[in-house]
Amino acid sequence: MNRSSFLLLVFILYTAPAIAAESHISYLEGTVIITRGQSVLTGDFGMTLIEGDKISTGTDSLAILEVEGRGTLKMRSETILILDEIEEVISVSLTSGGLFSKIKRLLGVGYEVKTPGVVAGVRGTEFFVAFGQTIEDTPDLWLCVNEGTVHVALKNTTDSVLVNEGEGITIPAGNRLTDPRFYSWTEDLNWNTDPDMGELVDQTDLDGAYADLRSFDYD
Amino acid sequence: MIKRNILTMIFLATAAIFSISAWTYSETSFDIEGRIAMVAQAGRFNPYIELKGQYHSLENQLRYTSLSAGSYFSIVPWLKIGAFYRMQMGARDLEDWQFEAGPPDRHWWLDTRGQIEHLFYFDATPRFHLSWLPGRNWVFPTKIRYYYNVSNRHHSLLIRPGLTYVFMTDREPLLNLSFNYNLYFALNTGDIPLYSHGPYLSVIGHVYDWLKLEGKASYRYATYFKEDGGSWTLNSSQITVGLGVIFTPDFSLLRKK
Repeated sequence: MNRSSFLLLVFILYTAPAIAAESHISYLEGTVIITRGQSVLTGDFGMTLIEGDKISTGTDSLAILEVEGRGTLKMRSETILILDEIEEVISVSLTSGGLFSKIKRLLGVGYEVKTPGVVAGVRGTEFFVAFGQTIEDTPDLWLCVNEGTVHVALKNTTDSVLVNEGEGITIPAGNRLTDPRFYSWTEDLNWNTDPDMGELVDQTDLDGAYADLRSFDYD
Repeated sequence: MIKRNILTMIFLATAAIFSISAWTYSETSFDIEGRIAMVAQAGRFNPYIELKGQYHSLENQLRYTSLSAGSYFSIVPWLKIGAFYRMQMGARDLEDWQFEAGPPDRHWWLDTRGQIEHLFYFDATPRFHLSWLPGRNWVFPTKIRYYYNVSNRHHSLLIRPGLTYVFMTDREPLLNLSFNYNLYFALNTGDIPLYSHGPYLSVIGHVYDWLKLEGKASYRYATYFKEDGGSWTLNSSQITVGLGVIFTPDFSLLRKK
Protein backbone atom coordinates (compact mmCIF):
# COMPACT_ATOMS: atom_id res chain seq x y z
CA MET A 1 0.00 0.00 0.00
CA ASN A 2 1.52 3.29 -1.05
CA ARG A 3 1.37 6.46 0.98
CA SER A 4 -1.58 7.99 -0.94
CA SER A 5 -3.62 4.79 -0.64
CA PHE A 6 -2.94 4.70 3.08
CA LEU A 7 -4.06 8.33 3.50
CA LEU A 8 -7.19 7.62 1.47
CA LEU A 9 -8.00 4.63 3.69
CA VAL A 10 -7.48 6.72 6.81
CA PHE A 11 -9.75 9.41 5.36
CA ILE A 12 -12.45 6.87 4.54
CA LEU A 13 -12.28 5.24 7.96
CA TYR A 14 -12.36 8.61 9.66
CA THR A 15 -15.31 9.94 7.71
CA ALA A 16 -17.24 6.68 7.36
CA PRO A 17 -19.18 6.99 10.63
CA ALA A 18 -20.22 10.51 9.70
CA ILE A 19 -21.37 9.46 6.24
CA ALA A 20 -23.20 6.36 7.40
CA ALA A 21 -24.42 7.85 10.61
CA GLU A 22 -27.42 9.96 9.83
CA SER A 23 -29.77 10.32 12.74
CA HIS A 24 -32.76 8.05 12.79
CA ILE A 25 -35.29 6.21 14.90
CA SER A 26 -33.84 2.76 15.49
CA TYR A 27 -36.67 1.40 17.59
CA LEU A 28 -40.02 2.47 18.92
CA GLU A 29 -42.97 1.21 20.85
CA GLY A 30 -46.39 2.83 20.98
CA THR A 31 -46.90 6.29 19.57
CA VAL A 32 -44.06 8.51 18.40
CA ILE A 33 -44.77 11.82 16.70
CA ILE A 34 -42.23 13.96 14.86
CA THR A 35 -42.97 17.65 14.40
CA ARG A 36 -40.85 18.96 11.53
CA GLY A 37 -41.54 22.57 10.73
CA GLN A 38 -45.24 22.73 9.96
CA SER A 39 -45.49 18.98 9.33
CA VAL A 40 -46.55 16.40 11.87
CA LEU A 41 -45.22 12.94 11.03
CA THR A 42 -45.79 9.57 12.57
CA GLY A 43 -42.52 8.03 13.68
CA ASP A 44 -41.45 4.71 12.24
CA PHE A 45 -38.50 2.33 12.34
CA GLY A 46 -35.54 3.76 10.45
CA MET A 47 -37.12 7.15 9.98
CA THR A 48 -34.49 9.79 9.39
CA LEU A 49 -34.29 12.64 11.84
CA ILE A 50 -32.97 16.08 11.08
CA GLU A 51 -31.93 19.09 13.05
CA GLY A 52 -34.91 20.92 14.52
CA ASP A 53 -37.14 17.85 14.80
CA LYS A 54 -39.38 17.72 17.82
CA ILE A 55 -39.97 14.13 18.88
CA SER A 56 -42.80 13.20 21.23
CA THR A 57 -43.59 9.83 22.76
CA GLY A 58 -47.08 9.00 23.91
CA THR A 59 -48.38 7.08 26.90
CA ASP A 60 -46.83 3.60 27.25
CA SER A 61 -44.44 4.42 24.41
CA LEU A 62 -40.73 4.70 23.94
CA ALA A 63 -38.33 5.66 21.18
CA ILE A 64 -34.68 4.91 20.63
CA LEU A 65 -32.79 7.37 18.48
CA GLU A 66 -29.40 6.90 16.91
CA VAL A 67 -27.79 10.30 16.57
CA GLU A 68 -25.02 10.71 14.02
CA GLY A 69 -23.54 7.35 15.04
CA ARG A 70 -22.29 9.05 18.17
CA GLY A 71 -25.04 8.52 20.60
CA THR A 72 -28.08 6.47 21.45
CA LEU A 73 -30.97 8.21 23.13
CA LYS A 74 -33.86 6.40 24.77
CA MET A 75 -36.96 8.45 25.36
CA ARG A 76 -39.36 7.35 28.09
CA SER A 77 -43.09 7.61 27.63
CA GLU A 78 -44.64 11.08 27.54
CA THR A 79 -41.35 12.71 26.69
CA ILE A 80 -40.73 15.64 24.35
CA LEU A 81 -37.26 16.12 22.88
CA ILE A 82 -36.02 18.66 20.34
CA LEU A 83 -32.92 18.01 18.23
CA ASP A 84 -31.45 21.52 18.40
CA GLU A 85 -28.10 20.72 16.85
CA ILE A 86 -26.70 17.51 15.44
CA GLU A 87 -23.37 18.51 14.00
CA GLU A 88 -20.02 18.76 15.76
CA VAL A 89 -21.89 19.16 18.97
CA ILE A 90 -25.09 17.27 19.57
CA SER A 91 -27.46 19.44 21.53
CA VAL A 92 -30.96 18.40 22.48
CA SER A 93 -33.66 20.07 24.54
CA LEU A 94 -35.76 18.02 26.92
CA THR A 95 -39.03 19.75 27.71
CA SER A 96 -40.83 16.96 29.51
CA GLY A 97 -40.46 13.31 30.48
CA GLY A 98 -37.21 11.42 30.79
CA LEU A 99 -34.24 10.65 28.58
CA PHE A 100 -31.45 8.09 28.72
CA SER A 101 -28.31 9.13 26.85
CA LYS A 102 -25.50 6.80 25.85
CA ILE A 103 -22.76 8.80 24.19
CA LYS A 104 -19.59 7.45 22.62
CA ARG A 105 -16.29 8.92 23.64
CA LEU A 106 -15.03 10.81 20.59
CA LEU A 107 -12.30 13.38 20.58
CA GLY A 108 -13.44 16.93 20.05
CA VAL A 109 -17.15 16.30 19.95
CA GLY A 110 -19.62 16.96 22.68
CA TYR A 111 -23.16 16.29 23.73
CA GLU A 112 -25.50 18.32 25.84
CA VAL A 113 -29.02 18.01 27.14
CA LYS A 114 -30.75 21.28 27.84
CA THR A 115 -33.82 21.86 29.96
CA PRO A 116 -35.38 25.26 30.62
CA GLY A 117 -32.94 25.95 33.44
CA VAL A 118 -30.13 23.46 33.17
CA VAL A 119 -27.49 22.24 30.74
CA ALA A 120 -25.93 18.82 31.20
CA GLY A 121 -22.87 18.33 29.03
CA VAL A 122 -20.59 15.38 28.42
CA ARG A 123 -17.89 14.05 26.14
CA GLY A 124 -18.79 10.41 26.41
CA THR A 125 -20.94 8.83 29.01
CA GLU A 126 -24.25 7.27 29.87
CA PHE A 127 -26.71 9.22 31.91
CA PHE A 128 -30.38 9.75 32.60
CA VAL A 129 -32.21 13.00 33.00
CA ALA A 130 -35.89 13.47 33.73
CA PHE A 131 -38.42 15.89 35.03
CA GLY A 132 -39.82 15.15 38.45
CA GLN A 133 -42.65 16.57 40.49
CA THR A 134 -43.62 20.20 40.35
CA ILE A 135 -43.47 21.28 43.97
CA GLU A 136 -42.54 24.89 43.39
CA ASP A 137 -43.35 26.93 40.29
CA THR A 138 -41.28 24.82 37.91
CA PRO A 139 -40.64 21.06 37.84
CA ASP A 140 -37.73 19.40 39.56
CA LEU A 141 -35.06 17.77 37.48
CA TRP A 142 -33.30 14.51 38.30
CA LEU A 143 -30.10 13.35 36.71
CA CYS A 144 -27.98 10.31 37.35
CA VAL A 145 -24.86 8.96 35.72
CA ASN A 146 -24.29 5.31 34.87
CA GLU A 147 -20.91 5.76 33.24
CA GLY A 148 -18.46 8.63 32.91
CA THR A 149 -18.94 12.12 34.26
CA VAL A 150 -21.56 14.75 33.51
CA HIS A 151 -21.07 18.45 33.86
CA VAL A 152 -24.29 20.05 35.06
CA ALA A 153 -24.65 23.81 34.83
CA LEU A 154 -27.46 26.18 35.63
CA LYS A 155 -28.33 28.52 32.83
CA ASN A 156 -27.85 32.22 33.49
CA THR A 157 -25.55 31.52 36.45
CA THR A 158 -22.02 30.32 36.99
CA ASP A 159 -23.18 27.45 39.19
CA SER A 160 -22.08 24.06 37.98
CA VAL A 161 -21.18 20.67 39.35
CA LEU A 162 -19.63 17.44 38.13
CA VAL A 163 -21.72 14.32 38.63
CA ASN A 164 -19.66 11.18 38.66
CA GLU A 165 -20.46 7.61 37.76
CA GLY A 166 -22.95 6.08 40.18
CA GLU A 167 -24.08 9.45 41.46
CA GLY A 168 -27.25 11.39 40.96
CA ILE A 169 -28.34 14.93 41.53
CA THR A 170 -31.58 16.65 42.34
CA ILE A 171 -32.18 20.04 40.83
CA PRO A 172 -35.17 21.36 42.78
CA ALA A 173 -37.46 23.46 40.60
CA GLY A 174 -34.73 23.22 37.95
CA ASN A 175 -33.04 26.25 39.43
CA ARG A 176 -30.57 25.19 42.10
CA LEU A 177 -27.97 22.48 42.35
CA THR A 178 -27.59 20.05 45.21
CA ASP A 179 -24.66 17.86 46.13
CA PRO A 180 -24.36 14.78 43.91
CA ARG A 181 -24.72 11.51 45.77
CA PHE A 182 -25.92 7.96 45.41
CA TYR A 183 -29.71 7.59 45.20
CA SER A 184 -31.22 4.19 45.80
CA TRP A 185 -34.09 4.77 43.37
CA THR A 186 -31.62 4.91 40.46
CA GLU A 187 -30.87 1.22 41.00
CA ASP A 188 -34.09 0.39 39.20
CA LEU A 189 -33.42 2.38 36.02
CA ASN A 190 -33.37 0.31 32.85
CA TRP A 191 -30.34 1.50 30.89
CA ASN A 192 -30.75 -0.97 28.06
CA THR A 193 -31.01 0.63 24.60
CA ASP A 194 -30.57 -2.52 22.56
CA PRO A 195 -33.79 -4.38 21.63
CA ASP A 196 -31.77 -7.57 21.24
CA MET A 197 -30.64 -7.38 24.85
CA GLY A 198 -34.08 -7.59 26.39
CA GLU A 199 -36.62 -5.28 27.93
CA LEU A 200 -36.28 -1.64 26.93
CA VAL A 201 -39.09 0.00 28.83
CA ASP A 202 -37.97 1.84 31.92
CA GLN A 203 -40.69 1.60 34.53
CA THR A 204 -38.95 3.51 37.28
CA ASP A 205 -41.48 5.57 39.17
CA LEU A 206 -39.88 8.94 39.64
CA ASP A 207 -42.11 9.55 42.63
CA GLY A 208 -39.82 7.00 44.27
CA ALA A 209 -37.07 9.60 44.06
CA TYR A 210 -38.91 11.59 46.68
CA ALA A 211 -38.94 10.80 50.37
CA ASP A 212 -42.19 9.10 51.32
CA LEU A 213 -43.23 11.00 54.42
CA ARG A 214 -45.53 8.14 55.39
CA SER A 215 -42.63 5.76 55.82
CA PHE A 216 -41.15 7.43 58.89
CA ASP A 217 -41.85 5.23 61.90
CA TYR A 218 -39.07 4.98 64.42
CA ASP A 219 -40.78 3.59 67.54
CA MET B 1 -91.63 13.91 107.36
CA ILE B 2 -90.59 10.29 107.76
CA LYS B 3 -89.59 10.15 104.13
CA ARG B 4 -87.40 13.24 104.54
CA ASN B 5 -85.68 11.73 107.57
CA ILE B 6 -84.96 8.51 105.72
CA LEU B 7 -83.43 10.43 102.81
CA THR B 8 -81.32 12.47 105.20
CA MET B 9 -80.06 9.33 106.89
CA ILE B 10 -79.20 7.72 103.57
CA PHE B 11 -77.32 10.84 102.53
CA LEU B 12 -75.37 10.99 105.78
CA ALA B 13 -74.61 7.29 105.69
CA THR B 14 -73.37 7.52 102.12
CA ALA B 15 -71.22 10.51 102.95
CA ALA B 16 -69.81 8.70 105.97
CA ILE B 17 -68.94 5.61 103.92
CA PHE B 18 -67.18 7.63 101.25
CA SER B 19 -65.36 9.76 103.76
CA ILE B 20 -64.04 6.63 105.44
CA SER B 21 -63.19 4.37 102.55
CA ALA B 22 -62.53 6.50 99.41
CA TRP B 23 -58.89 7.48 99.35
CA THR B 24 -57.13 9.33 96.61
CA TYR B 25 -53.41 9.79 96.37
CA SER B 26 -51.31 11.47 93.78
CA GLU B 27 -47.68 11.42 92.76
CA THR B 28 -45.59 13.13 90.12
CA SER B 29 -42.46 11.67 88.67
CA PHE B 30 -39.95 13.34 86.41
CA ASP B 31 -38.21 10.74 84.31
CA ILE B 32 -35.36 10.78 81.85
CA GLU B 33 -35.34 8.28 79.02
CA GLY B 34 -32.65 7.17 76.64
CA ARG B 35 -32.90 4.76 73.79
CA ILE B 36 -30.83 3.41 70.98
CA ALA B 37 -32.63 1.78 68.11
CA MET B 38 -32.19 0.41 64.64
CA VAL B 39 -35.02 0.68 62.15
CA ALA B 40 -33.67 -0.81 58.96
CA GLN B 41 -35.05 -0.94 55.45
CA ALA B 42 -35.21 -4.32 53.74
CA GLY B 43 -37.67 -4.09 50.90
CA ARG B 44 -41.12 -3.80 52.43
CA PHE B 45 -39.82 -4.88 55.84
CA ASN B 46 -38.45 -2.63 58.55
CA PRO B 47 -36.52 -4.83 60.97
CA TYR B 48 -36.50 -3.16 64.36
CA ILE B 49 -34.45 -3.48 67.51
CA GLU B 50 -34.47 -1.11 70.47
CA LEU B 51 -32.80 -0.81 73.83
CA LYS B 52 -34.43 1.62 76.24
CA GLY B 53 -33.78 2.79 79.77
CA GLN B 54 -35.55 5.20 82.13
CA TYR B 55 -34.26 7.07 85.15
CA HIS B 56 -37.02 7.85 87.65
CA SER B 57 -36.44 10.92 89.76
CA LEU B 58 -39.14 10.08 92.30
CA GLU B 59 -37.19 7.09 93.55
CA ASN B 60 -33.88 8.32 92.24
CA GLN B 61 -33.26 5.07 90.39
CA LEU B 62 -32.76 3.60 86.94
CA ARG B 63 -35.66 1.20 87.11
CA TYR B 64 -37.18 0.50 83.73
CA THR B 65 -35.18 -1.04 80.91
CA SER B 66 -36.38 -2.90 77.87
CA LEU B 67 -35.14 -4.69 74.80
CA SER B 68 -37.55 -4.94 71.87
CA ALA B 69 -37.17 -6.67 68.53
CA GLY B 70 -39.41 -7.36 65.58
CA SER B 71 -40.30 -5.90 62.25
CA TYR B 72 -42.76 -3.65 60.52
CA PHE B 73 -44.13 -4.63 57.15
CA SER B 74 -45.58 -2.21 54.66
CA ILE B 75 -48.83 -3.65 53.31
CA VAL B 76 -49.56 -0.57 51.25
CA PRO B 77 -47.72 2.75 51.31
CA TRP B 78 -50.15 4.18 53.87
CA LEU B 79 -50.27 1.20 56.21
CA LYS B 80 -47.59 -0.65 58.13
CA ILE B 81 -48.15 -3.54 60.45
CA GLY B 82 -45.65 -4.96 62.89
CA ALA B 83 -45.02 -7.82 65.27
CA PHE B 84 -42.57 -7.51 68.15
CA TYR B 85 -41.22 -9.15 71.23
CA ARG B 86 -40.14 -7.19 74.29
CA MET B 87 -38.28 -8.17 77.40
CA GLN B 88 -38.64 -5.52 80.06
CA MET B 89 -37.44 -5.06 83.55
CA GLY B 90 -38.76 -2.76 86.27
CA ALA B 91 -42.19 -2.02 84.82
CA ARG B 92 -44.99 -1.23 87.23
CA ASP B 93 -48.46 -2.66 87.03
CA LEU B 94 -51.58 -2.21 89.07
CA GLU B 95 -50.63 -5.16 91.28
CA ASP B 96 -47.38 -3.45 92.21
CA TRP B 97 -49.18 -0.60 93.92
CA GLN B 98 -49.81 -1.54 97.53
CA PHE B 99 -51.86 0.07 100.23
CA GLU B 100 -52.60 -0.61 103.85
CA ALA B 101 -55.69 0.78 105.50
CA GLY B 102 -54.81 2.72 108.61
CA PRO B 103 -55.00 4.89 110.32
CA PRO B 104 -52.61 6.03 109.25
CA ASP B 105 -53.09 4.72 105.70
CA ARG B 106 -50.00 3.71 103.85
CA HIS B 107 -49.40 3.11 100.17
CA TRP B 108 -46.25 2.22 98.31
CA TRP B 109 -44.87 0.57 95.19
CA LEU B 110 -43.28 -2.82 95.25
CA ASP B 111 -39.67 -2.70 94.18
CA THR B 112 -39.88 -4.01 90.64
CA ARG B 113 -36.22 -3.56 89.83
CA GLY B 114 -34.97 -6.80 88.37
CA GLN B 115 -38.49 -8.05 87.72
CA ILE B 116 -38.40 -9.39 84.18
CA GLU B 117 -41.48 -9.51 81.98
CA HIS B 118 -41.99 -10.80 78.47
CA LEU B 119 -44.41 -9.16 76.07
CA PHE B 120 -45.58 -9.58 72.54
CA TYR B 121 -47.08 -6.63 70.78
CA PHE B 122 -48.67 -6.10 67.41
CA ASP B 123 -48.89 -2.81 65.65
CA ALA B 124 -50.93 -1.33 62.84
CA THR B 125 -50.16 2.23 61.87
CA PRO B 126 -52.01 3.96 59.07
CA ARG B 127 -50.41 7.19 57.90
CA PHE B 128 -51.99 9.72 55.62
CA HIS B 129 -50.06 12.42 53.81
CA LEU B 130 -52.06 15.63 54.11
CA SER B 131 -50.41 17.32 51.15
CA TRP B 132 -53.37 19.65 50.74
CA LEU B 133 -52.52 21.44 53.99
CA PRO B 134 -50.36 24.58 53.78
CA GLY B 135 -46.75 23.46 53.72
CA ARG B 136 -47.64 20.15 52.04
CA ASN B 137 -45.52 18.02 54.38
CA TRP B 138 -48.13 17.05 56.97
CA VAL B 139 -48.74 13.46 57.95
CA PHE B 140 -51.58 12.14 60.07
CA PRO B 141 -50.59 8.85 61.70
CA THR B 142 -52.54 6.76 64.17
CA LYS B 143 -50.59 4.10 65.96
CA ILE B 144 -52.71 1.20 67.15
CA ARG B 145 -50.78 -1.24 69.26
CA TYR B 146 -51.99 -4.30 71.16
CA TYR B 147 -49.80 -5.63 73.99
CA TYR B 148 -49.93 -9.04 75.56
CA ASN B 149 -47.83 -9.33 78.67
CA VAL B 150 -47.00 -13.02 78.92
CA SER B 151 -45.71 -12.65 82.47
CA ASN B 152 -48.88 -11.28 84.06
CA ARG B 153 -51.33 -12.02 81.24
CA HIS B 154 -52.38 -8.42 80.93
CA HIS B 155 -53.86 -7.32 77.64
CA SER B 156 -53.70 -3.65 76.79
CA LEU B 157 -54.14 -1.36 73.85
CA LEU B 158 -52.40 1.84 72.86
CA ILE B 159 -54.05 4.22 70.43
CA ARG B 160 -51.95 7.20 69.48
CA PRO B 161 -53.33 9.68 66.97
CA GLY B 162 -50.91 12.39 65.96
CA LEU B 163 -49.86 15.02 63.51
CA THR B 164 -46.37 15.27 62.06
CA TYR B 165 -44.78 18.02 60.04
CA VAL B 166 -41.63 17.23 58.09
CA PHE B 167 -39.28 20.10 57.39
CA MET B 168 -37.61 19.50 54.02
CA THR B 169 -34.62 21.11 52.35
CA ASP B 170 -34.18 20.49 48.63
CA ARG B 171 -36.52 17.49 48.75
CA GLU B 172 -34.63 15.88 51.63
CA PRO B 173 -36.18 15.45 55.08
CA LEU B 174 -34.45 17.54 57.72
CA LEU B 175 -36.66 17.41 60.80
CA ASN B 176 -39.84 15.66 61.87
CA LEU B 177 -41.91 17.51 64.42
CA SER B 178 -44.69 15.36 65.87
CA PHE B 179 -47.49 15.96 68.31
CA ASN B 180 -49.31 12.86 69.46
CA TYR B 181 -51.74 11.88 72.15
CA ASN B 182 -51.35 8.53 73.88
CA LEU B 183 -54.45 6.64 75.00
CA TYR B 184 -53.77 3.48 76.98
CA PHE B 185 -56.59 1.01 77.54
CA ALA B 186 -56.43 -1.89 79.96
CA LEU B 187 -58.37 -4.71 78.36
CA ASN B 188 -58.53 -7.23 81.18
CA THR B 189 -57.28 -5.54 84.34
CA GLY B 190 -58.48 -2.84 86.69
CA ASP B 191 -61.74 -0.99 86.67
CA ILE B 192 -60.76 1.93 84.47
CA PRO B 193 -60.48 0.98 80.79
CA LEU B 194 -58.73 4.21 79.80
CA TYR B 195 -56.25 4.02 82.64
CA SER B 196 -53.61 6.30 81.19
CA HIS B 197 -53.32 9.07 78.65
CA GLY B 198 -51.30 12.13 77.78
CA PRO B 199 -49.57 14.16 75.09
CA TYR B 200 -46.34 13.13 73.45
CA LEU B 201 -44.05 15.43 71.49
CA SER B 202 -41.10 14.33 69.44
CA VAL B 203 -38.49 15.89 67.23
CA ILE B 204 -36.43 13.73 64.92
CA GLY B 205 -33.46 15.11 63.06
CA HIS B 206 -32.37 13.38 59.86
CA VAL B 207 -28.62 13.63 60.29
CA TYR B 208 -27.81 11.16 57.53
CA ASP B 209 -29.84 8.64 55.58
CA TRP B 210 -28.64 6.06 58.10
CA LEU B 211 -28.79 8.12 61.29
CA LYS B 212 -31.53 10.03 63.10
CA LEU B 213 -31.40 11.83 66.43
CA GLU B 214 -34.52 12.08 68.51
CA GLY B 215 -35.69 14.31 71.31
CA LYS B 216 -39.02 13.81 73.00
CA ALA B 217 -41.16 14.91 75.88
CA SER B 218 -44.33 13.37 77.22
CA TYR B 219 -46.79 13.77 80.00
CA ARG B 220 -48.61 10.64 81.07
CA TYR B 221 -51.44 10.71 83.50
CA ALA B 222 -52.39 7.32 84.92
CA THR B 223 -55.10 6.29 87.34
CA TYR B 224 -54.64 3.19 89.47
CA PHE B 225 -57.80 2.10 91.23
CA LYS B 226 -58.41 -0.66 93.74
CA GLU B 227 -61.52 -1.67 95.61
CA ASP B 228 -61.36 -3.89 98.65
CA GLY B 229 -63.90 -2.89 101.26
CA GLY B 230 -63.23 0.67 100.17
CA SER B 231 -61.77 2.39 97.18
CA TRP B 232 -58.25 3.59 96.68
CA THR B 233 -57.13 5.69 93.79
CA LEU B 234 -53.64 6.77 92.79
CA ASN B 235 -53.36 9.57 90.30
CA SER B 236 -49.89 9.26 88.87
CA SER B 237 -48.33 11.91 86.67
CA GLN B 238 -45.21 11.07 84.76
CA ILE B 239 -43.26 13.71 82.91
CA THR B 240 -40.63 12.18 80.66
CA VAL B 241 -37.98 13.76 78.53
CA GLY B 242 -35.84 11.57 76.35
CA LEU B 243 -33.11 11.37 73.80
CA GLY B 244 -32.66 8.70 71.19
CA VAL B 245 -30.15 7.60 68.60
CA ILE B 246 -31.74 5.74 65.71
CA PHE B 247 -29.81 3.93 63.03
CA THR B 248 -31.68 3.49 59.76
CA PRO B 249 -29.55 1.41 57.40
CA ASP B 250 -30.96 0.34 54.06
CA PHE B 251 -30.31 -3.37 53.67
CA SER B 252 -32.00 -3.36 50.27
CA LEU B 253 -28.93 -1.66 48.84
CA LEU B 254 -26.61 -4.37 50.14
CA ARG B 255 -28.71 -6.99 48.41
CA LYS B 256 -28.63 -5.12 45.11
CA LYS B 257 -24.88 -4.61 45.25
